[in-house]
Amino acid sequence: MTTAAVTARRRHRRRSLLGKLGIYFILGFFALLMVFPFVYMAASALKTPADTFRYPPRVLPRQPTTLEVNGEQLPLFLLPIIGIDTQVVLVEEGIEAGVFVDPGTPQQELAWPLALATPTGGQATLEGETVEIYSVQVGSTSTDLALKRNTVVGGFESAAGEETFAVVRTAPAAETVSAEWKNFSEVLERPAMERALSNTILVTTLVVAGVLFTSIMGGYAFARIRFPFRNAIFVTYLGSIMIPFIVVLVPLFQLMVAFDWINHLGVLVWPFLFNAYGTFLMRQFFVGIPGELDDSAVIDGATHWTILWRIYVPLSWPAIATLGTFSFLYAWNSFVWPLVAINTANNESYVLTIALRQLGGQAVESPNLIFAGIVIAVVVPIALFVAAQRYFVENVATSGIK
Amino acid sequence: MVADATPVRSTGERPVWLVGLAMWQLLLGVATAVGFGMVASSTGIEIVGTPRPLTMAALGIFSILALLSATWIWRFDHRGRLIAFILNLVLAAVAGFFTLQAVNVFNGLDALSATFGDGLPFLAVIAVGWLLSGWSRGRSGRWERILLTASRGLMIVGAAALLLSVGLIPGLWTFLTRIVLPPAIIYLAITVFSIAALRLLKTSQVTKAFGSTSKQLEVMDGIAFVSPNILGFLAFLAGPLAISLFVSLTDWDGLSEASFIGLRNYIDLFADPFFHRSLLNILYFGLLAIPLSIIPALGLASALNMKLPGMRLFRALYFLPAVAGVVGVALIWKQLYNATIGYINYAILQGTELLNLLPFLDLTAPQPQWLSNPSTAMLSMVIVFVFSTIGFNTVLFVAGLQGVPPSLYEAAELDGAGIWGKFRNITVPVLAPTTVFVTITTTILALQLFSEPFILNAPQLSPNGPANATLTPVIYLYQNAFERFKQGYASAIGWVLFLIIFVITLIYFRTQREEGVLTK
Amino acid sequence: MKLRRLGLLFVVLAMVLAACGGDTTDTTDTTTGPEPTEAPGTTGAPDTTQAPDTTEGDGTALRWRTRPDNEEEAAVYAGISDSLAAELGVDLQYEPGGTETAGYQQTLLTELAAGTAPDVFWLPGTDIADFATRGVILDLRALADASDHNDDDFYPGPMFHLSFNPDSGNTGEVLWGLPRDVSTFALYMNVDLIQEAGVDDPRELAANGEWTWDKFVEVVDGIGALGGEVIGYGQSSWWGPYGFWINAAGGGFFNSDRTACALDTPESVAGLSALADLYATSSVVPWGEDAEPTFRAGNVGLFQNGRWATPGIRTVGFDFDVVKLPDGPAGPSNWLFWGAYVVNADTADPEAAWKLVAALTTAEVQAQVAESGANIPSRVSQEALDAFLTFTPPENNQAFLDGLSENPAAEGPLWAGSWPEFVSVMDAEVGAVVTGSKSVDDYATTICTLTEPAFAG
Repeated sequence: MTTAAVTARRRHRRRSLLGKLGIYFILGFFALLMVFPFVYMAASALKTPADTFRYPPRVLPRQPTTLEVNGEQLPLFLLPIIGIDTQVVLVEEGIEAGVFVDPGTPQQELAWPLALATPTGGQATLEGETVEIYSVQVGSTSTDLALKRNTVVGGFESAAGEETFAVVRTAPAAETVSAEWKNFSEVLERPAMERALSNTILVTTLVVAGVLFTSIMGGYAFARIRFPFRNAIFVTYLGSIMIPFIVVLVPLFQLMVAFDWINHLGVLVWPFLFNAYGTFLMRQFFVGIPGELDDSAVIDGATHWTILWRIYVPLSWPAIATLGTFSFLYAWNSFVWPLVAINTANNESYVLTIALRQLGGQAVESPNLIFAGIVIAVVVPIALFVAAQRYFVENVATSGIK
Repeated sequence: MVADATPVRSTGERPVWLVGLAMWQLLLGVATAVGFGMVASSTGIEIVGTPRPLTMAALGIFSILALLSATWIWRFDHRGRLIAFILNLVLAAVAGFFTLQAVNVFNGLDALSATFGDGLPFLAVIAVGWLLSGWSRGRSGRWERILLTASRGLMIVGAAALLLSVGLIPGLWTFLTRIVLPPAIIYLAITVFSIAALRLLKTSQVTKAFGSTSKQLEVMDGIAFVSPNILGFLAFLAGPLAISLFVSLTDWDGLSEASFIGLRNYIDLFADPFFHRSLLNILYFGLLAIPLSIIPALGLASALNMKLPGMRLFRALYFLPAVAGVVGVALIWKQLYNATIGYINYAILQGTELLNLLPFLDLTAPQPQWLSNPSTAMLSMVIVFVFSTIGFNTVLFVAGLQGVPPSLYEAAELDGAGIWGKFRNITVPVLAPTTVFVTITTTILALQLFSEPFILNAPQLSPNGPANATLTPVIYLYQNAFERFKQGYASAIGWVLFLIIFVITLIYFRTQREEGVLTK
Repeated sequence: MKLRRLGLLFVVLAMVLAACGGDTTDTTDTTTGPEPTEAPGTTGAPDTTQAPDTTEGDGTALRWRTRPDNEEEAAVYAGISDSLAAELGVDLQYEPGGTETAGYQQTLLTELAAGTAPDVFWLPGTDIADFATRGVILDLRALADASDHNDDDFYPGPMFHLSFNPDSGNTGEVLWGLPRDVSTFALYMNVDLIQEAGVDDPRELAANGEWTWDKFVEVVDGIGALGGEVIGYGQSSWWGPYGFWINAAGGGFFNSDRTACALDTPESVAGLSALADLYATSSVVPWGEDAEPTFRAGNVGLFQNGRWATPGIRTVGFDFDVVKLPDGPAGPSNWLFWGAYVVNADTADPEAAWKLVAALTTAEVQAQVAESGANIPSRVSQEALDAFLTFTPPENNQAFLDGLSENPAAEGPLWAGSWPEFVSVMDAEVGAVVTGSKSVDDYATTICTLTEPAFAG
């Protein structure tokens, strides 16, 4: 090996190591972007409502630590006493106070009771306005500060009996990371959520079963049975995939009104028991199965039906798993049709998508409940997808594109 | 599939079943002819709301075919068998539908849904049993048998418990009490007879009598197998599509009678400022969202294709937004977009403060009001759409790359090609068909934007967004159809949108074909 | 194989038991012959006129619906439904309806078309015309005259519209319904934030007659200066809250006889301009974001809303009160909001429905509703007003009553056109001005041309 080739190799290896790191970095970055909203959702589903309205927002759920005082649980705060952060409890509220600043450093504000401040008679200029100087007593020291504005503070006391004052709203609470699991049970107790969950399972199961059944049959027919106009019919049927749902939305709605299916759960199931894409998928897969298997079965006197179910189907689990997962996701997550076909007043025929949307409107005061609802709606498809991932990814696109 | 048989063609001997079959077809032909006559003279039974020409056409064609098939059957002509098969199939489907409709089985799903919750645990039992049976296949002999029996037992017990817990007995009882009443019993009778005819038509003695070849038999099988799909397609897709075209030429409001107004809806649409706005909006959306959903996906896919460890994890993570469903994703982003306490603005703030650590920078963090400001409202939709779609497209591209032999890449490397060169000269051409597919599907999805604005703007703003910034054609269609009761107008919007999508798809196909890249 | 056969049996049984609909609601209305699948009907909706809950044996059953602002309000009405059911001896089923933007009115119209609407329902005052002209609500005049009803018992503003006959242009000939209650707007205050910010208490300012727009902006800015997640002022983005600003400047949506748009008068434009300035320069909840949850979380100082929000706001964890709306350049102003109970024109039992409507608007029931914190009774009665003052919190209920006496603009339907169309244009344009994407001058020149199509209907 020439030295040139060796150096080239070495350079290549170095470059490829850097390249690999770079690739991991990019992949990781995008993965983070994809996953962060879900992490945020899962964490927020465990928060209390106050925690969800907090600013600055945090990811992890936290609740105030409490201390038992005279039989009640009081929240603990963390306030500095003589410079050291101490755990204190709120003992008094509504104390008339003032916001004091040193004119030299106007950003640092001290909220302190007016009772502990005596006017010195002096004046200063603060942001173009004239303000009075007070002698403010903090602990054992007094400082001369300017009064910026009035406010109201609360009185806090530590276990050792030391006292301090601060604005109650902004006093940092001593918090621990703690999950509020009862959000989930609370969400399910809301009208329609539990029912929506079982309805969605029912609808999805029926639709998936129907689509699998009709697609397997249809796919087999298009792949293996010869009848006139087969290819023409197939192409036309396939072409229907290109028809956007909204063109059909209004007349399909009217058809459902004519059948009197509107506002009943069945309207989400019966028109969707067949699927052109599913038939296409199964047909592509069946075409790939060698035809000799049929011939030997024919000699044994088998009909198309038995050949399909005894030979082809057992060989097609990947495609069936793919199609099943696809249909499941489509049925579980479908939103527009249930929105249109089920009345908002009809709680009992809700599915998760519209129950969730309604929750989003009704529970605006408690976003943690909305998140808990989303977790419930999302955990089943994710679990299914993870389980079926092996079959799913390779097959879905390969057959779809070719 | 029976081998050729010698036909029994003696004209004197007609087996009973043949006579019966011919009689049945004759009956059908006559009955539908009578129906035709009644509808034509518009006396007697009037079927509510059905356009008369259509019913007459259907009845007329059915009648003619039935009579024809009767004569053909009489003459042992195989064509009669085929026609009879098709007619009875259609009849069984239609009569079966009416039977179930009369017994209210379709809407009975409501009742099932009420009790289904109780049955869920048993559904889980069945699932466990099924998993167990799959698991048992790997085991050794005796264990396999035991596990198999156990799993089967579990499934049967689970199924029985499920049925009982969701109220099988009362259900059966209701079903039986309803089905014995007319009109249900009549429909049931028709269904049963037509199914009987179907079974008869497929028996071997019929085959022998008609001398049908196996090819001819296959045709019948084929029709039977595709019938659910085709009938469903006709009833729930093609039918409504045709009706939609017709409705778009009327001024129907969904409540009262419609009157034909020709192309008026389309002309009005042409001048409608709201529709123009929606087209502008969707154009803006598409120009941003479609490239952003595809180009990064291409890059990510080629990165994933390098077959480094951990790729499967990344693939799964990228697919997550597509799996989670649009409602959940939109609601999460709604919280993130909150201008005051949302995480996005907070992240921008933190990022700016980080940048401000650099000595020469002193930026103020922009805190856009994502959903309430007309300038950023549509952009917010773009972001959510890209979020949901990019993972799916990446996975599609990865699959498209599966077929590429790694030797191609190695050869290119030896020739001195860098990452960019490999990408441009190997990855992109190989992925051309995938790219077309992905572009088309993403475009179709993008042009139908509805759910994201619908959910993100609620409850304070209408789905149109601030100052109509997020009004899309589909939202406009929805509002016209279900809020303003202008179903004719809405149908016209649907067709115009369809036309736009169709034309764009055609353009994509054309450009690919010209470059000679698309091989079919 | 046997398992497969069993599986098939399972499937068939599942289908069959789906017919199990025995004792629950949906047994009826398959009597209209089902259409053939090849030719779906063009008239669509089946012409059944009965509500699904037909009489089951003895006693009438009525369904009625309102649109509660929050869960607490829904609980109030559910309670009233139960007590009235016992009193009237009728089977009552209360349905809490959707929200404004979740299409409460649209759902009703769809249901009316399909024949599944409730027997009695509440409508906002602005939608009476829409429903009356479609002929879907019942004219109750005959039934009212036969009972001891008197139009003068109720506030004249609502009664004018409820007795307006669009065909003749006269009042008193028809009766579209009875007003459920009236409400005015006020500013809900987070007293804790106001004290913390050290600003002047708006209640004192109002008592001294100093509660003007300028003072209002001062207070808002003072609260907003606290920073962080604290915001000075919040309001919703529908026509009620922003209409106040237009009215208080001396303008209005319509001209005096409500036949033309008046949004381009100098006064109206001035009012909107002031609102736009407020949004541009002060600490306000972003236009279009829901201010109520932020207020209830304790992050907003002043929040404009109607009395109906009180049951929900009573649950907040901070000290709250109300103060009347600030006086505009043209003096004090407010909205008189009202809604009415109307009867479905296709109801199976009009007499029972009228009795329900009359029962729901008696002084006793109205007092119950008012006590629970929701609106002010719609019957003119000093007693009722005195009693209303005692329904605390909030302490300062007088703020709502001030709104009643201080020149309120009564909301009302647009008999001369289509209110929903007018509003959808107005909402979009006003929103554009407030968020700064359209200049006030552009708005002033174009708004009344843009809303013209609404009057054509």
